[in-house]
Amino acid sequence: MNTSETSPVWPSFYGRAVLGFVGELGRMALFCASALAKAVTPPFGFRRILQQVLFIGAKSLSIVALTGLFTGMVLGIQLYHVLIRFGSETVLGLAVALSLIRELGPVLTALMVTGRAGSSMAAELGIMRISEQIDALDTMSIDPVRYLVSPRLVAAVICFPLLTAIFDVVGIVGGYLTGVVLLGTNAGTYLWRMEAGVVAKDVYGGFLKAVVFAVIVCIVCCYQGYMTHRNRESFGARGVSYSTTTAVVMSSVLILVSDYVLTSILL
Amino acid sequence: MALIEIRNLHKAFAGRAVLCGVNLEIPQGEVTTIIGRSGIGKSVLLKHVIGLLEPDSGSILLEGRDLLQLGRRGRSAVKGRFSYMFQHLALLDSLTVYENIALPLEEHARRGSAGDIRRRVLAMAERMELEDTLAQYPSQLSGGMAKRVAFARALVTDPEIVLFDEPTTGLDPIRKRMVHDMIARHQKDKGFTAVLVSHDIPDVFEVSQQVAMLEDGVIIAAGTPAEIQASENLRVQGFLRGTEGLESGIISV
Repeated sequence: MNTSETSPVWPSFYGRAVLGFVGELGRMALFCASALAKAVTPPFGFRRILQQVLFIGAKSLSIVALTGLFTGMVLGIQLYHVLIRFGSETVLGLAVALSLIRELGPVLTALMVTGRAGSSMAAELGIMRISEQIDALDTMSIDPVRYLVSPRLVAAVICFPLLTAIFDVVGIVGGYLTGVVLLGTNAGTYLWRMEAGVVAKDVYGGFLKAVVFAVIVCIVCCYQGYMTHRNRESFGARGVSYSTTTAVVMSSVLILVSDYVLTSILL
Repeated sequence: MALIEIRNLHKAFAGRAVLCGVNLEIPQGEVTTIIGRSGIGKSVLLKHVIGLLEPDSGSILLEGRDLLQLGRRGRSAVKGRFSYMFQHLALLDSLTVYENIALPLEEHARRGSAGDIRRRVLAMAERMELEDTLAQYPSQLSGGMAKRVAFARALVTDPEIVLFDEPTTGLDPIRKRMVHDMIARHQKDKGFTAVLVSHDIPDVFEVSQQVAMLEDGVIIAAGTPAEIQASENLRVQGFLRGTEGLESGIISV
């Protein structure tokens, strides 16, 4: 009896949820298309792009390098103890390098930059939204997407592959430190196996992932901040906090999901 | 002929009607002030004129052209003729005072070279007595100074139409007077069309050529300051004397 009375509610609840999700996805796709279109058409705003390269790239360098170093060191230890069981510790260099270049480099770099720069983008744009600064740009005939989002997008696309490359190199050095210096694998074998086994396709694949992650992180974080006023669950400062958290969580999940998709395509 | 004509404008938020058929003509080269109680929809009306809000129905004509029917490019071109001073100023808080004032000029290169922009910003800063604050950030300024920065940013492009959304909110009576004087002086110098939202009675009568009162989502009276002051409409008189709503019981404490 109860079931028949309440059953009409559930389809409408799920229907609304699905429509809301599809609508949000559509808005984000349009936002992305608009930001991309404005990133490749003049005026380009080189000064703002450089400012963002400094913020997203240069200021993330130390944290990315540190993460890369310890990731490589952990990989060196873990893989050594696995490989030695099969008498294959000579491929340690190759295993470390491929893990970093294909997967861990792009993914961990993107996650670190999301935490450092992505959250900041969402918070900054969120505060600008609730304090009417974005409206002020609009009233001055300044396109807010061109002014605020496109430079960040261009800077992210420039910085993510470079940061990923640095992560990979520092990670390989970290693997060398533990695998060769600490655990005694032959240095020549470590380097030679790596040189012989890593091909250009691995490197390009890693960079392709970095570019895709750059677009995801930048668009998701900027969109969440830009649309802070549309939050129905919280307003004001709490709305900005909600947008920032959503931006980081959504970016992180999308990085991992798209990594799986890209890996399936690339391999 | 009116420069801006608002026709039968309707707007509701979450089912609550705020504007219920606003009709108003704004003449060129004059100061039109919209008065009315707080929260009655004056700022909402102004945001429709600049295009920050879309009406549910009705039209806004600029020189006879419906702004709502213009394409994106057309709207952008029209917006270039406007300036808007926000109630809470909306200065970009990560930019200095200089950068805030220069922003609308720098983003539209056609408005001058780098040297020209610098000259115009410094001249405006001098007029607003902001020379010593150019390197500071908005959060480092007093309320009065921040108002002047917003004022400078609104006027630095020499706009044809300036919309002021409660420019004297939060100021003491002396500074209120200063802001009104500033608006009147600059309007006389530059000849722009100004639309002012305010409830500073009777100060606004001195700077306005036309006053319109918004009540219950419609303009209930419009005319010269003298006409408004002499209006026989009880609600207008009640508002002017500060007793509207108290008598009818609309406002409850």
